[in-house]
Amino acid sequence: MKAKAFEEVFDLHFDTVYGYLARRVGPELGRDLASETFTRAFAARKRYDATLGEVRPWLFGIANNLLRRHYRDEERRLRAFAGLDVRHADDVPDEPRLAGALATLSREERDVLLLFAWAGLQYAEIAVALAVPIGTVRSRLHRAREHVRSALERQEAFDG
Amino acid sequence: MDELALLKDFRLEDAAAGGAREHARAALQAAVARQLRRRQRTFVLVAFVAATILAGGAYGVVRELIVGGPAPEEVRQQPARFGHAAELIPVPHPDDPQLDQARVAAVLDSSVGTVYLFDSPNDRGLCASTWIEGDRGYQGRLNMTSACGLAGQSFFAYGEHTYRGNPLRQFFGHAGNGVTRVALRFGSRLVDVPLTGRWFLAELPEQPDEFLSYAADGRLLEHHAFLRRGPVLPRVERPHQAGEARELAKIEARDGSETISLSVARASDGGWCQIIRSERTSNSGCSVARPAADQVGVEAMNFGGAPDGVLLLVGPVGADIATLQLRYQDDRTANVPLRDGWALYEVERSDYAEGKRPDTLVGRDASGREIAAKSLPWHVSRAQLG
Repeated sequence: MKAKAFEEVFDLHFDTVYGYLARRVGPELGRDLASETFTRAFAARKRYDATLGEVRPWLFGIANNLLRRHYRDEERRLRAFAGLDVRHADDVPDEPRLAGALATLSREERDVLLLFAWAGLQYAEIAVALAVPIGTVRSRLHRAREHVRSALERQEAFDG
Repeated sequence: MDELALLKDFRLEDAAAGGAREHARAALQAAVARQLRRRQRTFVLVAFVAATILAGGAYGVVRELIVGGPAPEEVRQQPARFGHAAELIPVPHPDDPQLDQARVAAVLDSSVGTVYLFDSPNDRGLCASTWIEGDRGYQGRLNMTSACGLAGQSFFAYGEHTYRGNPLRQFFGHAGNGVTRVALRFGSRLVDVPLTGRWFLAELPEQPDEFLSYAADGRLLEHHAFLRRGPVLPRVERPHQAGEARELAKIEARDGSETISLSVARASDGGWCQIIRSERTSNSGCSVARPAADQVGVEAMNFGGAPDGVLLLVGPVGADIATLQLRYQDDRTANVPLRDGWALYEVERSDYAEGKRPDTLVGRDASGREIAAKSLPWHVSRAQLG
C-alpha cells in the first residue's frame, strides 16, 4: 500500500478505530492504542494483503492485538463502572448493569460481541480480524449475546 | 430486552475523537521520521527521495515541526482545553506559560522518543516547556515540564521523568544575554550543551554538578551548583474510593437544562471522594479532607470548563457550621444549602461579570454567629473597592 493510500485509510477509519478502543479502555488509553494501531499498520502496510478484502478488519485485528495487553484494565474499568452506587438515583440506569454483564464475559466472547456492536464488523470481517473461523465467530457471538441478555434479566429481577 | 440496542449507546461519550486524531498524526509523523532517519544512515539516495516527497506534502498524514515555527495545535490548545483559559471566570496566573503562543525552540531525539522544547511568553518574561511526543496524562492532557524566567537572563531546569517505564533525564532552558556557550560539569568533566538559538535541550546520563555559561571571549558569566538529591521518600499511595458512594444533592443547573448531582464516599486516606455528575460530564476526586469544625472546605469548580460549563461551589463544611451564605462582590447574598455538611451550588452565568462575581463564603453556627469566612478566587478587598 502506498503512503498516499495509507493517508486515506487513516482519514477514513481513524474515528471508528479510536471510538471502539476508547469505549473499551477509556479515552486516554484508547487514544494511545489507536495511535499505535495506525503506526503499526503504517509500518506493516507493505505486508497488508489486499486480497483479504477490506482494510477495516486488518486495522481492527491490529487494534485487538494491542488490546490484549489491556484486558485487565478493561475489566477493572467495567467492574468499577458496574459498581457505581445508583441506589439513591430515581431509577436504575442500564449502563452499570450492562458494564457488569460485559465484565463477566470471556475475553474472546467480548471481543466478538464488541467488534460486532461497536466496530460494526460483519461475521466474515470479525473472522479476519481475530483470525478465527467464521463458525467460531457465530457461536461466540451467540453465546455472548445470550450471556449478556440473561445477566441483564437477572439484574432486572434482582433490582425489582 | 435488546442487548445490542443497549450496547449501541454504552459509553458512547468516550468515542468522541477530540484531540486523538492529532495525537495519532503526530505519532505517525514520528514513525515516518524515524524510518527516514534509519534509511538515511545506509541509503542516502533513497532517503533523499523520501524526504523530498515528505517536504512536498505528498504524504499528508505527516506533520512537520520546524524549529522557530508554531507549536502543534494540541500544544497551543492545551491552556484552552485544560488550563486557565477553561476557567469560566478567569483568575490571573502571571507565571504560567502562555502556550497558545508557543513556538518550537528545539527538538531532541532522546532514548524514550522525540522531545520538543517549546518557547512561549508569560506575563513576566519567557518560558521553556518540554514534551515527550505522545506523553499524555489525565483526559489526554499533555504532560509538560516548564521553566520560566526573565527574557534577558539564563534559566534552566534539570529533571528526571519516566515515560512508558523508561527514565529520561532532561536538561533544558534559555541562555541569557551575552551567553554564547553553555556547559555542565560532571565531577571533573566539562560537557558543552549545544544551543539552538537562545535555547538548549539535552538528555543527560546523570545529574550534573554545575551549570556554567560563558561569553564570546571565554569569560565565565554564570555558574550554579545543582543540589544533590536527598533521601528517597517513600511513595505515597494516592487516595482512592474505599466505601459506597451516597448521593447527597441534586440541582437543576443552566435554567433546568442540566441535572447535576453530588455523591460522596469515604476515601482510603480517611478523607472523602467527591463525585459530581451530569448527563454531560463528570468530575471526581478523592483528595477532599474534612475541614476543621469551624472551617469552610467548599471550593469553586469549573464543571465542564469554558465556554459552556457551569461554575459550581462544591465541597464540605466543618461540623459546627449550620448555615452557609454566599456574598457577591456587589454585596448581594444567597443561602447555599447544606446537606449532611456538603454544598452543591450553581453560580448563575449572569454573575460571572466583574463586579457581580461570588466573593466570600460565610459559615454560621446554629445560633447564627459567624464562625468562618472563606474568600473565593474573585474576592475583592474593601481597599480595592476604594
